[in-house]
Amino acid sequence: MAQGNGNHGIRDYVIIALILGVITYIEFYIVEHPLPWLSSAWVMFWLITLSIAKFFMVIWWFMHLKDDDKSYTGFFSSGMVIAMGTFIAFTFLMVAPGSLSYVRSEVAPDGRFVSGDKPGDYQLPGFGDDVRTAIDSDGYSRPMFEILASARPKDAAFVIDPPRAPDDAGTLRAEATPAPEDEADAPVADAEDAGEAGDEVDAVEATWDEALGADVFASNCASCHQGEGQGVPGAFPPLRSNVTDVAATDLGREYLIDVLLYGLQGPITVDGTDYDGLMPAWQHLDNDQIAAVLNHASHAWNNEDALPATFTPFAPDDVANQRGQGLGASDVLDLRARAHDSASAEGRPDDDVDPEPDEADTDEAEEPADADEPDVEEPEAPDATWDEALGADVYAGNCASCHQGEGQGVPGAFPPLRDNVTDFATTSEGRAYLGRVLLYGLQGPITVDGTDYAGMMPGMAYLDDDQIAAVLNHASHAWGNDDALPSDFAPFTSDHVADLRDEGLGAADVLDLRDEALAAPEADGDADEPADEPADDDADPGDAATTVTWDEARGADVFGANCTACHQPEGQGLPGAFPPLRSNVTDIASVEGGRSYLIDVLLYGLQGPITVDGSEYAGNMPGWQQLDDGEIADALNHLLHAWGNDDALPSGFVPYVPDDIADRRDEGRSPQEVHAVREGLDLP
Amino acid sequence: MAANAPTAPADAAPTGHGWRSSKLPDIKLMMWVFLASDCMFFGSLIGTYLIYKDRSLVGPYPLDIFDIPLTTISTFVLLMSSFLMVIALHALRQNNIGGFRLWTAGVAFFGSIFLGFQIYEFLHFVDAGLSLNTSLFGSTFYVLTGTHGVHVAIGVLWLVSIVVASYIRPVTSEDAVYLEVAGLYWHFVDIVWIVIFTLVYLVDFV
Repeated sequence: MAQGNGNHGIRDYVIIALILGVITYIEFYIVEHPLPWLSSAWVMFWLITLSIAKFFMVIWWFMHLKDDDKSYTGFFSSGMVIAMGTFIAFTFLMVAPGSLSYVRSEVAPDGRFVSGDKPGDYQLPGFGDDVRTAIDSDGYSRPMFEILASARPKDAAFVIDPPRAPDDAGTLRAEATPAPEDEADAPVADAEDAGEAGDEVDAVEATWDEALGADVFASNCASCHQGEGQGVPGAFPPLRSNVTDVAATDLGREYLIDVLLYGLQGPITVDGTDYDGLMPAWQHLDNDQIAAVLNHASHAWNNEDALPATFTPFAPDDVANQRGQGLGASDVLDLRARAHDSASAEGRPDDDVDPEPDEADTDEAEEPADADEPDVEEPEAPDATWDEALGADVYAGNCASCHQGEGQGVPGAFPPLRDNVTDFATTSEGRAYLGRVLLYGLQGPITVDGTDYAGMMPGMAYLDDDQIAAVLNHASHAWGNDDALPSDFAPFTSDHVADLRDEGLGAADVLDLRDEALAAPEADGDADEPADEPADDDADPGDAATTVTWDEARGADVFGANCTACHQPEGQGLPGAFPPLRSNVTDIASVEGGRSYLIDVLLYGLQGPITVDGSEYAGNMPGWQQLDDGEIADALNHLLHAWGNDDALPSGFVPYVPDDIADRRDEGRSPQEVHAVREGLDLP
Repeated sequence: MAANAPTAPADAAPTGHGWRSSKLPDIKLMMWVFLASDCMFFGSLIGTYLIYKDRSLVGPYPLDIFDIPLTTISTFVLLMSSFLMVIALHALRQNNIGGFRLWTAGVAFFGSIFLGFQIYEFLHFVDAGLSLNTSLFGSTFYVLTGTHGVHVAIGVLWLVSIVVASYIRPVTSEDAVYLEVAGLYWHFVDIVWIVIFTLVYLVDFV
């Protein structure tokens, strides 16, 4: 008997079992107690090596392939090979590089969907153009994996290029610097340093570098102002007629260059929506890049239709002339007022813009300037039939990517648009609420048909009143929803929408209105209002440990609403652009002075170069004084405890309380002073 | 015919039927083929988990809820159950029926402890807000670890039934191939967990 090898077998088994146990402990140890001399790539390498070792030890000795017939090994190996092949093929299909071009145009860095996707400007992962076109043609099909590819925060890290290396910007700027000091020399200096400058000199209507402009925009601007310049209502202003209006005057042109060079800080209002300007300065871009991106923003997305015929493209010289003034971001705010005065003095440029016929089918091609054309809305009779084709079209272009072609939603991610919507549509409060959701977005936890969603609907105020009314009617009637509507249902009209447009609500305010709107159908005796109870909203945060005295739910909410756009949902940051919030933060919280420094960063912002985990960041964190003391305290507590950070906190760590914040609120520091404080910290 | 399967299959598998070309015991061959196909099953599930990793739109996220010390303990328990499995088979081959029953029951017991950890973990995760419908993480995690848990549960039932059957119909070392096949299945479940423990749990914390 080949395997009757007695006690020698037992001893081998004991040794193997011991080794397996020790390997498991080593895996556990290097994960739980990171060794300073072992980089994470090596930890990963060893984890995988050790688990492969365990795998083969079990197969070889415990499953005794070692001594057994070789055909067993053959069977099992072929199964393993096919499994690995399937896995590799699957990986290529799902995360092929082609999916990134789609992500670039569609998704904000926080993984949120950017509405207004235009058929054809993205690519389905893993498929050729022919398949892509077939799917685009009906405008509805949104394969699941397409949505998944876009909703992937870490991919965005590949898309948002880090700011240009200081070297090449620095050298170009060094050559350009003499220009502002001696304007006469400027054209000469620039003509030497950039080839395109020559073109600008001899042709006033010179073409600008469209590819460069689009590239700079995608790398530096799109993460906030979005791929189509539509902005994020309440957070980042759009770049539409507001930009072209200003670009039409000389003062306005200088102002736009200044915004790029020096940033913009302070409250502004764009198209009736308030923004707390937080634009960082982009001096590290060179003159060509800034001129090109300004030209891009002035021409792209049909903005060129709103430009006056006399418009001359921005030239690198124009940018060079504005350098060296040493303005602060808040000084630029004053220039804004001047620029706008001059724009209105010269008369607003013609807003009556017809979208180009060949682009009329893409909804985002509609100029937001339409909002200034009341005459379009008024002819519409209040109880008129609505424009079904427009509604379906707007839906396909703006809504279907998340809520799906048939309004079925994606469980856990995007709620359906079925009974829950028709229930709202039957009361006046509910109708107003739906209009506001479209205009201002919706942010916060909601429950629909018993499933929880973390509301992150963007506002769509860039759609005009007709479009919003039509898409609301579409959602109320389509997919059999009309059966649930009362017979006396009056379609939404553009007037309804216009009435709601200037309320200047935030996405989070709309959440409160949701509760009120939900209360209304019940008062009407509308019995079929099933599980749409936001009351269970607070059910999911769940197990608050008793020792923790801060409001975990609020901390997560504040963080989600204000911090994730840059620092990402899991605090992982974006390499080269926004630092992570991991052990670097708990380290800060552990050193003397670090605790109050973190408060200062939130209150006053941080400006200046910093190094985190060996990567350099330009440090452009805005201050968040508009948050109240409790919100800042809980946001800090959240980021110090989440994502396993609590393991790295010193044992004596006391959560922040609102009074801690209040104590530092009147220090009146500048972001640069906060940076100086950071330099003084004794960080490891 | 298989009832008389010898302990050393490579040597003396029955060849009563002239058309048989293999002298390997049917049941063991079948188990290895099954395990090969199960490789593909788990390969797809693990692949799906990894591809959808970091694509969840809502929390809780893996880093929020995974408890590495706890999972390390349950991993260790499962590894040791594999060790008991080879001891039990060894005992049966030595015709040590008492030892065979004790160690086999021990394997089933350790497997039950592992399942207990997993049930505790699932309940804890649900409590923290992660359900099958919450996010891609929830869907792929529960389906992967749940499928593995079902494999463990089937293994526990199988081993218990082997121990119980040994009281109804006396067994000898001649029957070791049946325990060996159950053991192959058990070890396979163990190696799948080795992979899951590393790729699903540990690498998130690196």
